[in-house]
Amino acid sequence: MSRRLRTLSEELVRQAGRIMPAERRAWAEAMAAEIDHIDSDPAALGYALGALWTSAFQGLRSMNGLMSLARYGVVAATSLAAAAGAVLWLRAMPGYAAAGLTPPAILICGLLIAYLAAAAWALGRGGPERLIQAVWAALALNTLNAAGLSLASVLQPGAAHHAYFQALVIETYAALIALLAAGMALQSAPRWAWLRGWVIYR
Amino acid sequence: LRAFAARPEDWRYGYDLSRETALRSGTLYPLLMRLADQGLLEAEWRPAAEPGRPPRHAYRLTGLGVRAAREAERSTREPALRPAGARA
Repeated sequence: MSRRLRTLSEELVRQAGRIMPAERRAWAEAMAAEIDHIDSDPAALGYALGALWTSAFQGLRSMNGLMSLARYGVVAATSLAAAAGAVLWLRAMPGYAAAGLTPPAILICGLLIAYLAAAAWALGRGGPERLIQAVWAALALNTLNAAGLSLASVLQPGAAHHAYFQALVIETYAALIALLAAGMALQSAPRWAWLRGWVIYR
Repeated sequence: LRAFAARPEDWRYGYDLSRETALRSGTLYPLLMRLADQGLLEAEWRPAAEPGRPPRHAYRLTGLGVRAAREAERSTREPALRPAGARA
């Protein structure tokens, strides 16, 4: 048990070092080195938890305000788009024929809403990397969707609203590619930090 | 600051300070970082007293830090010394 506590403490301070901002890395090393000088294993664990908290807090403090605004702006816009889509989708459900929607179109709209909601969740929870992963998965699903629609148009050439479904698939691609671009821009934002400094200090 | 000011010449270590001040590491280290950012604290790696252990990050007040600690000590002590009803 004692050995496990010690291993856990060492792992926690290692993780603390990973999440500490680069300019504070020496402090993470200082906290990690100190663990070896604590004889009591429970005390070492408490110390390691504090180190992890310190690193997480420093990471949050160092987060670029503009970057956070952009990140949560994308989350808000994506959530709003998903919510608006959901409202339209629910309104179309009971009398879809009157709204000009057919079951496949409702399915595509539903998928789009689900993609957008998943993307907003992924970005809010895990940052740009998760958003990019979610969008790649959604793009793969949409491609399958498009392939299915193309196959259906070959098997049933006279199917109703075929052009409409294709347009929905293309719109879904456009929305997902916009999200992918937003995710990539947010991911690469730290590389452009020098530009912010240049604009501010000129 | 008071913990440092008690022995301003001595190098102090994080865990020892944590025990002395009863501050958890999650509270202590952000304070140390802030003091260092303000130029009140200097830090350096020092070899461990016991062989076979890694070097430790040690801290002590700078000249500015010593003055700030004395000032802080004075400002916390003065209201208590002042007679009741007296004005500053």
